Amino acid sequence: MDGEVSTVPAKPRTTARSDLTAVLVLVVIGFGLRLLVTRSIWLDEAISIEQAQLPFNEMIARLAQDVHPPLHHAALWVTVRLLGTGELAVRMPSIVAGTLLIPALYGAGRDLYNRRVGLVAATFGTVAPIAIWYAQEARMYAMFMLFSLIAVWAQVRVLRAGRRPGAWAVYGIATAAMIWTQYFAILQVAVQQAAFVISFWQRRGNRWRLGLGWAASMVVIVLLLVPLRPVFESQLQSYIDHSAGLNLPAQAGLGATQHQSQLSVYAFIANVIWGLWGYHADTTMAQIVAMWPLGMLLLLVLLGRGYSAMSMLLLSVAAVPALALFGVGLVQRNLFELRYFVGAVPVGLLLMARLASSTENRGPRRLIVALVVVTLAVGLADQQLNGANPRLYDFRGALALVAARARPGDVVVYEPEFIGPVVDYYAADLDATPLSAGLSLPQYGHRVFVVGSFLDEPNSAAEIGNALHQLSEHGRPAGEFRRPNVEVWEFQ
Amino acid sequence: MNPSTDDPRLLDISSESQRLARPTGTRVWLLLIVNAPLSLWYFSWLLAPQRIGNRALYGMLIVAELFNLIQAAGFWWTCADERSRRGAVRPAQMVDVDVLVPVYGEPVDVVEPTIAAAVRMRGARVRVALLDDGDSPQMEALAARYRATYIRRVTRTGAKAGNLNHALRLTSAPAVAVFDCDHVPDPAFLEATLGYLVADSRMAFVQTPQYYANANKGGLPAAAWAQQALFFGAIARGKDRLGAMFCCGTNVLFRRSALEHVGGFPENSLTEDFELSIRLHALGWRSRYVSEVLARGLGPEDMAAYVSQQHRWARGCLSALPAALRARLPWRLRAQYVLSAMFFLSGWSVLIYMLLPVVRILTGAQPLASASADQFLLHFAPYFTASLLTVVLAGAGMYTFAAFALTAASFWLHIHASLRALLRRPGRFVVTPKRGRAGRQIGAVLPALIAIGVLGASACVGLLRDRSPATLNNVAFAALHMCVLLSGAGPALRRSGGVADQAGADQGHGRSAA
Repeated sequence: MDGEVSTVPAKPRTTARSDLTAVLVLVVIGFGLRLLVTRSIWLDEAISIEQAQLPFNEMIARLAQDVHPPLHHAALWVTVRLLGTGELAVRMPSIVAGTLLIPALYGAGRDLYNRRVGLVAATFGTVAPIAIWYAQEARMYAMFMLFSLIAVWAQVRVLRAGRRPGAWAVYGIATAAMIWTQYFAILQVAVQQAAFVISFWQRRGNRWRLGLGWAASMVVIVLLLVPLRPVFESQLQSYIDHSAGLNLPAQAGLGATQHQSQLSVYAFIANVIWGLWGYHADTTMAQIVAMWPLGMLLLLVLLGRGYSAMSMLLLSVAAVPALALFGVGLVQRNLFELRYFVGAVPVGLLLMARLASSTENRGPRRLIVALVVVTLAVGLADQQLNGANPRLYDFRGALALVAARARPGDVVVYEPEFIGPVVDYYAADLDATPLSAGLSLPQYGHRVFVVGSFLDEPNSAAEIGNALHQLSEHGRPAGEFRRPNVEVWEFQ
Repeated sequence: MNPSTDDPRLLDISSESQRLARPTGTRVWLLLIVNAPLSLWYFSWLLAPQRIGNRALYGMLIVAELFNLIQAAGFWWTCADERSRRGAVRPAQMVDVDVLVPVYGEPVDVVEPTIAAAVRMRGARVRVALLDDGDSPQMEALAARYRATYIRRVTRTGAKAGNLNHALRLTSAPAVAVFDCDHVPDPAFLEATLGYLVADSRMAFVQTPQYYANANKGGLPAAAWAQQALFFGAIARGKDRLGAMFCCGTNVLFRRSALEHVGGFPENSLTEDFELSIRLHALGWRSRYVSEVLARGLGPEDMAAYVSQQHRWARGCLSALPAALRARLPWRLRAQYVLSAMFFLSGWSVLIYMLLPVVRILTGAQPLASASADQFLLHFAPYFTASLLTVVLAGAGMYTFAAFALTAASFWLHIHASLRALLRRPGRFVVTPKRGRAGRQIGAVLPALIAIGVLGASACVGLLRDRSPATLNNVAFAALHMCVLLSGAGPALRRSGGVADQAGADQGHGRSAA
């Protein structure tokens, strides 16, 4: 009998220990995958790095002309001073946030559903292509995903248990942090506030507890957002005056969706697929999107499975910001982009984990989970390694090639002008100039390097074409080098 | 012999009963506001002349889509406003009630709980009669054990309806309750229903849900119950509000004078209950539905039983369609009968939807022109999603994918039944077996398996030929149909451990109803 008594309480501890081990293993794998950065610094990253090298006040002043809130920039400012401006160093805040997403997914899944969902969600988060992509970018999106998940997690805890001062505090802080990281987080905040209203309305007893907690969290949020106000006001004014931030291209081009002047349903589906299975070549995306009838099958399979208020909240948090931005995108095309509702990704992974692990039979459940993990892994490999991915821009490779061949006195020009910060990041010594500043021919015996990107945009293609024509009249082509989405022409 | 304690019909199902009776009309009505413009948007796009691609395929698509729209609109109309009745005022004076339980070779252990429960019903002076068309001494002993009347026919014509009519001639109570032999009545059945007959002299019958207690086993009975739940939930409540609830043959309380007015149960029909309702309504009698589960029966446990049941319902309801159109009924009742009968034509639309990707892959012909897949999706997806959401909410989440898949995999039954009804071929009344058979039943789902084969082969041809988005779109449609059909046919492909039914019905003892 003693033996029996002693084994009963030991079981939860064993389970907790095995879960901890599993999550630690996943964190190590996830951290490793996030460290395996394959792509070069992107335009936005280069701008952030440039800003982060300024004195803090100057950086904040410069951000007044930007469109993003300053939390990530502040983290990057500290990182640059601690670790320098190497590719891995500047991406470290995102790598850390992206890695922390794994235990957060486990915790949220376990807390909101059960430990099985927690483990599956953490596994999905470990290999989820988009979670890794943005964890490898020196921008704010990995932090956005992390705060978004924490905010939802904390909200469900307070709605379920009511009197949890700690959860209310976490909710308030995470919500404020979300807004400090990405202004589009306001869409998620609106959904969550609506959930509070509905819950308050439906509740028969203990309303005052909910109301009190909500009021306290609002005080926390407002207090934390007060310092953001001057920056926000300056940015808003700048946006109204100059449409700041809209001159840069979207990070990618999906031929079938992204560059169309009008938004389409296919573009919406493509963004949903990107959110779960990562970025892929245009042709691959067109093929995957065409298989939308399988989405009908998914909807049918969900018939009669029941739904909890909690799952509805998660679904709303994932879907409403995307749908709202889709609506906005019908008017202002460039505002519908996965980056702006990427906070939905971890919640989507959580729901996917719930769905995949809902079958009671162990065999089919394991098979489904394994299949999902395999598809995520395949998506990850394709996203990271396939040069046909339209979001892979190998500025590092192209400019390293130029740097290796250029001699003092050679001329390096680039087009379009907005890739300047990347050129400065990778080849500050080359003294390269944009084509728009004019093409000055070098002295006899020296060479000209033309670095071109975004050649699917007519203006850039025309500029490059003119320059190449002009150069071919004065010299002879000495080589042409292609890297993913970047080309280099050499003239002698 | 006492009824088995592990009989699912004797378990507590109060939560399921409450779920079935949960009002959903307000939600459906709100969704109707969304559904109407979305349907209009989709169909105004679809019916534009420039959409006509291959004329034959376009025509087929339009027929299928319009059929579904009519069904959907009928569903929204029925469910948007409902009346949920759970019990009635008890009659002041004691009333005599004859409880008729027709039997035809079913096992004694299936019938015994029904008889045992029937004699214990409260709220009236109950006289239970076991109507044995199986000529079974065990049944006679069973009736004697519970002091029920045992009635045996010499000439067995008219199947179940004939059996009931024979008993009506031998009994005399002003109210008559009918239970299939596997449906165990609740002691409160009469307390909940009799008041409606007493309160309204034109009330012909009070119907209650036909609940499948073996749904808790999962598999086929669960899927069959999920189909029933949608009908006995929002649809039946809506029909009740419209005064159009029809009799479902069991768990129903009749007024004898109403039955006598229409000459008893129609003996030349496969669905005597449906035709009886039409006759009663046509003569100005009224009907009621109580949405509380007041009897628990057994749903089909294997695919052969399900096929037999569904084919009989389809054949019977479609044969009754002309009667519904001819009868002197108010327009809303006529519309309700037509909608109910037309459901059994839905197999044709499933066939068309399956055919379209196959034809597109193999021949390149497609129904729509001047329309990109993106445009189609833009117009179709909101309509489809809102319609599906309406089913979810109207069914209080009880309608499952398994139920949907089972209906889709039965597409051929509807086609077969409608062709036979059209050709006026005589039907056979086959009692639905009450026990599942062990082993696979490939024959019961063979048409679905053939469809899966054709879809799979055409998908392979498409993938081998090219992997363009257009081809992949059609391959995905084929895959969708294959998954649904496979899921629906699944119960017949698994080796179930069902107990072989000793019933004569299960051994092919069909009876001619015509």
